Amino acid sequence: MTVPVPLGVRLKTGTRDIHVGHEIKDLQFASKIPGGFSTCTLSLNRPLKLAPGEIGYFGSLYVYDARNGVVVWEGRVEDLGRSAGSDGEVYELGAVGPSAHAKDRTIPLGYISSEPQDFIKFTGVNGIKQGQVDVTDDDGLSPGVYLRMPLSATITNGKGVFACFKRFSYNGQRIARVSVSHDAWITTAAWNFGVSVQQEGGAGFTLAASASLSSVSGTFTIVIGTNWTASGQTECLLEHWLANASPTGTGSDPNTVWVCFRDLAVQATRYDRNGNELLTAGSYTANTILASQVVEDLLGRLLPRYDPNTSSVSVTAYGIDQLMWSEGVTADHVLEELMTLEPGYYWAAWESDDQSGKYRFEWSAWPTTVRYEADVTDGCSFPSSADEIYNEALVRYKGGHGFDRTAVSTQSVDALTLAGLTRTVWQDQGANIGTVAAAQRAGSQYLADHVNPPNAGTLTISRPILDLQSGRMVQPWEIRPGALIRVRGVQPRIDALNPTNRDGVSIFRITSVEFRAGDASATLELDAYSKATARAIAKNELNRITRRR
Amino acid sequence: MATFQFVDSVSGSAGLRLDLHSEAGGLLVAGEGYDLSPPPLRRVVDSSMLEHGDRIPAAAFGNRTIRLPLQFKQTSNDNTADKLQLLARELARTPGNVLKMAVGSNAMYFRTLPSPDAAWEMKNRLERYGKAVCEIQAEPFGYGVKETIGAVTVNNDPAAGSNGMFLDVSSVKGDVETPLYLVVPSGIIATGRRQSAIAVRRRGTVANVPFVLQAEAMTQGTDTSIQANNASFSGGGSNFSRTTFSTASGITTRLSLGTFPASASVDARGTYRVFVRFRQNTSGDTIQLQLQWGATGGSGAVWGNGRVTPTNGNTNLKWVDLGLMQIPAGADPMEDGISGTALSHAGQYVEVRAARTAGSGSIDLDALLFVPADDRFMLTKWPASSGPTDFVVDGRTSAVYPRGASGEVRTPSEFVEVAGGGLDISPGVTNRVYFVRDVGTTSSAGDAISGTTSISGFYWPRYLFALKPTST
Repeated sequence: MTVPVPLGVRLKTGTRDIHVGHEIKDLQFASKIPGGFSTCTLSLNRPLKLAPGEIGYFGSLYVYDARNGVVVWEGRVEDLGRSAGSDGEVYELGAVGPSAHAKDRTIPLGYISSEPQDFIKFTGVNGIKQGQVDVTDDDGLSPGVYLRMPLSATITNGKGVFACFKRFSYNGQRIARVSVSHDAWITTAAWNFGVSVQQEGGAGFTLAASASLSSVSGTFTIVIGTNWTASGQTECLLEHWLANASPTGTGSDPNTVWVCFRDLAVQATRYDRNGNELLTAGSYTANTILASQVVEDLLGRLLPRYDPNTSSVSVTAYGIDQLMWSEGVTADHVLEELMTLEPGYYWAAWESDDQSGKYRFEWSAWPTTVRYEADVTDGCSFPSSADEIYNEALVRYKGGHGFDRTAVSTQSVDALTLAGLTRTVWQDQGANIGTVAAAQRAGSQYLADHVNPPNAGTLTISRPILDLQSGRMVQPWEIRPGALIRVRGVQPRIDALNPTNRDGVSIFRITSVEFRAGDASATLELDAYSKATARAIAKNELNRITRRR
Repeated sequence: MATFQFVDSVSGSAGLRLDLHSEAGGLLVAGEGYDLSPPPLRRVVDSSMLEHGDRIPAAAFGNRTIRLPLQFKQTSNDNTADKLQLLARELARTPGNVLKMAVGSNAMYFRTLPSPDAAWEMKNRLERYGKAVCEIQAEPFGYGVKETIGAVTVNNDPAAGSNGMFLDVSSVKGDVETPLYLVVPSGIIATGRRQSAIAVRRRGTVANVPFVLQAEAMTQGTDTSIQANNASFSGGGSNFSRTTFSTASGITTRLSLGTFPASASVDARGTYRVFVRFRQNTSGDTIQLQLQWGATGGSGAVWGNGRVTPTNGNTNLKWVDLGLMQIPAGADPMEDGISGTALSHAGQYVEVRAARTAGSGSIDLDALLFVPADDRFMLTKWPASSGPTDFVVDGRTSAVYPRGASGEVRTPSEFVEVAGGGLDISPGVTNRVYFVRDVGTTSSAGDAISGTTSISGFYWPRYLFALKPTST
């Protein structure tokens, strides 16, 4: 007996829910990392003079494995092309996977800022206009904000110089935690300094931490729920004011009466994956944030179509000290930025839950064990290029004073050492990194992924292959990206059977899988997207978009 | 005399539209030049220089072309024109027609597609020698008349003495596999929308397929012990296990068995969708379940599926989907080299792990169900409101439609949702149809072991060749 490809296709709208697998032609679907289910196209003969109830924008499209009922692709219809010609009257359906949901909304968003230039002079009721707020980048010290009193000014008690952080206020976000270190030249009880929070306009003002001027350096850390009661505080102020001099006290030498706030870390409140804003101190215990915390926030804030109950978020370790998009950003772009800071992780969205109708989301580390085993018999292309090997990285970042700075990272690559070459890759982290240590880390992470040439090739699968994770032989349409594959038929490295990562020779990352029912085969893209013009253009377009300067 | 007729249905009582082979009607299928060949087979051919031969990863029949030379024997040219018009109308009928053909003594039906183009030969005595050579496009297979499958009482207890969650369909007529139509009575409806799993296994000795593994037959793991007989559970004697989480609430092995199935066999081979019959004894507890497996006779798991959290936290007994498992795990040669002799294989280690991440209650485990998931499998979510008399599970369109008392199609309260693919049955084998009545987590009714479902069905035999045998 013959073996037609056992896939079922279902279209579901508000008015109709039917299987059309026996009527379609040219079925193709693809999944990729990052993103998960990405695209699906099919053709369906339907009369153009009618409006088929099963075809509609944002209708659901499911592709099932008819042998076991597993969803092999799922998404929503976004493209409805209609044509009439030699093929008859045809609807060309194009559907996108749940990854498209990450681009649905654009909002101004920020998580943490460590940039002194984000503090601007604030006069309000008690600020004196002659007060000076300066951003500094002193040698050997972290960038900071100086607050100083002017010469010969008449200052009354309570008056002073204030610098305000308004970035979160502009975004419509609340302050969660502020940490600053402070130092001054003299010790005097005449002057105080501190950190406060308030709503825009001054309501809800709380002086959360303060002290008399002291030459002894220290740290202020204030947190929502501990130092103030959450009531919509969106701004924080650094303050320096006259506390105990006579009402007619004269101004002082600004060279001696100043306070400098450094090691700035201002965090906004985040959401949990269920959409509940986190308003207690226990959620903000560090002066940096983790990529995994940002992912949890995105699930609750911007991604309501992803199921919080079935989603998984692997905890990351690297502390991020700068993450801000006041000009507007999508969740997709935030995730893209997180992957540059944590290149060992990816995100993907997959099938929906039968009860909630929401999609399963994952933020996961690239595996270190091989999942699939295959050979090259069905066809392959491995255009490995040394163009992607580097032993040095130059990372541009925005220093705390707002100027461009660079940091260098290096690694040893045998092939380059033997050739006597130094190859440098340039990375632009914009304002997303504020310290040289963070910039060097970003560079090192990138270099580690470029010690072996990325494969950037393809592998064709048209027969069952072994899935070591499930212990099953899987058909080409069941293969998922986001896994390592070991390919037989190529000369392996000595440790090919004990891998911890791709090696660019016989062990590869599967970055995308495209299945075509027409020839019952899947094409796997390995290690990186294949060097297709369309992909190159898309990547350049992404790089062009809003990385803060 | 052979039969060639356009009729109005695939049925033994079909109405005649046009007789193509009748002396009285003045139209005869000519003695030479007709072609009733089987349909062409479309193949995907995969080849490379890396191995000898070509592979066929997929194949499917294309439409067939029936070539009939028709001889006109009329008394006048006008009568020939009338007959030709009748022929043209039947050839052009949209969306198609039914061609009844009986070259032997048994009729076969072809669902034809509009094919109005025909070659017309004109000779001197048109009314006596005019010939129309028709090439009629038709679906690949010829059909026999509808065959019914008598009602079978399918028990909801996998340990039942007969038809425990399955029915067998044997003596299927035809040359090739054909879609199965199951009729499920309206008792399947339940509040919260019951979800059922239906699957087919069509190879080997279906009676030897491993299907159920009772919890009490497994090694009891951490905080787990066999309990006294309870009629709500499957099997006799002490018939279920209880996990109390008294010492460990984290994910831990609760049930295990070194080798399942116990005996080596060629029929255990396959991929299965594994369900566990389970209930939590405290509503609102958050429970996680997980299936893992390992080496034959082993004592630890090597592979496994992800954790599953039953989302309906009530205390009803329910079947919970633990995912797919292949027997044997890994690369299976299936045959002894190229001999075609199937290799027997032993069972493998199986375990169920459970955790209680919130709450304080215990859970009960009844049995594991291994539903074949390498042939045809579908999940069906039924409506929640009464009204239909029964439902037809249509294997051809992968759809389910409700019917009234007179067989009329009804509009349901909710769309019947189907995941997976339509069911097929094959001739020459015993087809075992598995029916797991309640596998969803949305249904509030749960699953009662004492329940039964009277399932019947029908199909149309399909044939490759235009000669239909008498009894098959």
